[in-house]
Amino acid sequence: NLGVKLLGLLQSREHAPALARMIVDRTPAGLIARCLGGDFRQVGFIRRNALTALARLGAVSEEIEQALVVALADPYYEARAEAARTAATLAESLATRRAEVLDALERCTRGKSIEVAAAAAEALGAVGEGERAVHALVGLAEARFWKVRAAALVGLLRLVQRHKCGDVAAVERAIRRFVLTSTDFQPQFQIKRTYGLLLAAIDAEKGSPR
Amino acid sequence: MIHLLDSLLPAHFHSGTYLRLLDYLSVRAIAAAMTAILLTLAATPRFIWYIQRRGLVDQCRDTGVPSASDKAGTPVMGGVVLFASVLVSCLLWCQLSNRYLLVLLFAMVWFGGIGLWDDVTKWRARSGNHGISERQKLVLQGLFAAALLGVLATRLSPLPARDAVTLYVPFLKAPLVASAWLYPPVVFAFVMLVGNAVNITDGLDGLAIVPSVFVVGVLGMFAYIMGNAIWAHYLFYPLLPGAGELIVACAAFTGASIGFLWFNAYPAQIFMGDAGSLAIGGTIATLSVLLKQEALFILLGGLFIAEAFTSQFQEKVGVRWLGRRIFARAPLHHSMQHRGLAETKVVVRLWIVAGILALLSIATIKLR
Repeated sequence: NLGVKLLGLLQSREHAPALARMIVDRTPAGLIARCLGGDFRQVGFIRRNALTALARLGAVSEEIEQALVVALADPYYEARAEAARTAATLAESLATRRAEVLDALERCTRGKSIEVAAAAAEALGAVGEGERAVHALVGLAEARFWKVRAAALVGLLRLVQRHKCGDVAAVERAIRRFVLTSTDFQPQFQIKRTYGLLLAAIDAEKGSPR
Repeated sequence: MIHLLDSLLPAHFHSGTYLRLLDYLSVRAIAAAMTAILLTLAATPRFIWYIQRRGLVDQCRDTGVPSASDKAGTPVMGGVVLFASVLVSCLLWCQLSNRYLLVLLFAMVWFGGIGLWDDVTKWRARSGNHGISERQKLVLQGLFAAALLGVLATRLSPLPARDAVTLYVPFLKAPLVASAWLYPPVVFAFVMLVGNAVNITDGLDGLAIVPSVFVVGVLGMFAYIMGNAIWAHYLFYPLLPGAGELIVACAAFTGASIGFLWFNAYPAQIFMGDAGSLAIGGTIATLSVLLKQEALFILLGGLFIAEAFTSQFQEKVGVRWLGRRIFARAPLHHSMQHRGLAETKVVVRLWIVAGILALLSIATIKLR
């Protein structure tokens, strides 16, 4: 696990194919492990961290795109979520399997896992384009969990910023369907915020970042 | 102490005045609760300022939950005020010669001491990950569990000899097990589990304190019933002479907890720290053992058990063995936050769950 992480942090691009093979390796785990929820010999954390490493490496090849497509259907939810985030990071470099990645991302947005659906929705904004992507994201306007709805809005935002959303007026009409209530909030502690601003101002005055 | 002073007064002085009210457990329980509330409300603000000046603040662990970072710098070790208030209140209003009470107070001090040592070690290391080791904690808790079993097996035991090794379960009038071989390991494991379960639950502002109040409140009811010959006979519970005194201690604990919640509710001004959560866990575990309600705790303390189970199963089976998460996050309250619930909503919903479990536990008193 540590080695997989280090490959990404140390920018070891020559090991990218090895990471891709770990992601698609479907050698089953032992019987007892499978009875308790395990799946493959390359455990879920390894597959997840291998995807993170690939995102850090930034290298894209046929093998890596294939691994990404497989990972987007991984049985472990964290691996699927990380695959979506990696697809978003490598969006500009995807070539031969872009359409398959898009199909897989759309399927992920309709899945049961909140984390996967949210990551896939955001990734659609980075990878997708045009009416198809807009339609997939607007379809999440009334999703049950606010995190998925919020991620769909992030995806739409990215499409608009990339100028890939097609008819902007249609997008503006469509987003009115979004349910904007949520069960969470980010607290803002005024005294801590002011303290942070003061520290930043002092650092600027001293000429050295904290 | 007040009870002791009253007992030293001449009989005619006692019976002719309102001091005779001190004979009633209910009166002393209410007095103990009020004393503890007032003590905690008065002492906590001063303690907060003292802790802030000494820099004894939360060494935040990165749990992957965004709200955790808001809590860095919050004073800890509020549990010291909590169990000090309980101790003072018990010293004032309890019958200090009562062996049930002495065992309970010792448990609170012992577990509280372990927690305090852990908090201070984390503060010195400036890291929430570097308290005393898990092994050290387990050894110290194990020592208490072994000592408790030792006391229960001797003439020092507050329990009647016939109930020394019996295990009662809800809904059954007779004990399920009466075995000197089976009972000790069950109780040992029980004390270790419950002692740490409250610690695991104490992850959000106010989360551990209210369910603890529910648990201790229900156990206080059991103490009153089982210490009263009429009620015990009517409800088919074993009579535990002297156990009724525990309701005064339970009331003191409830009062101290309510007073502490004044400051611990979100956003918390002070945390109880391990000093508080371990003290509470040890208290609850010992109460359950003394009142022969170990099995009831599975229902009554279901929230604590769920939190401990999800945490330990995730770490020991999921992370270390299978290399994947079993639950989205662990313990339970983190899983609820991960699904998008605000901290305050998680806390209140889990209070509701704890309340429902307490009501169901009370229902078992009559459903036998």
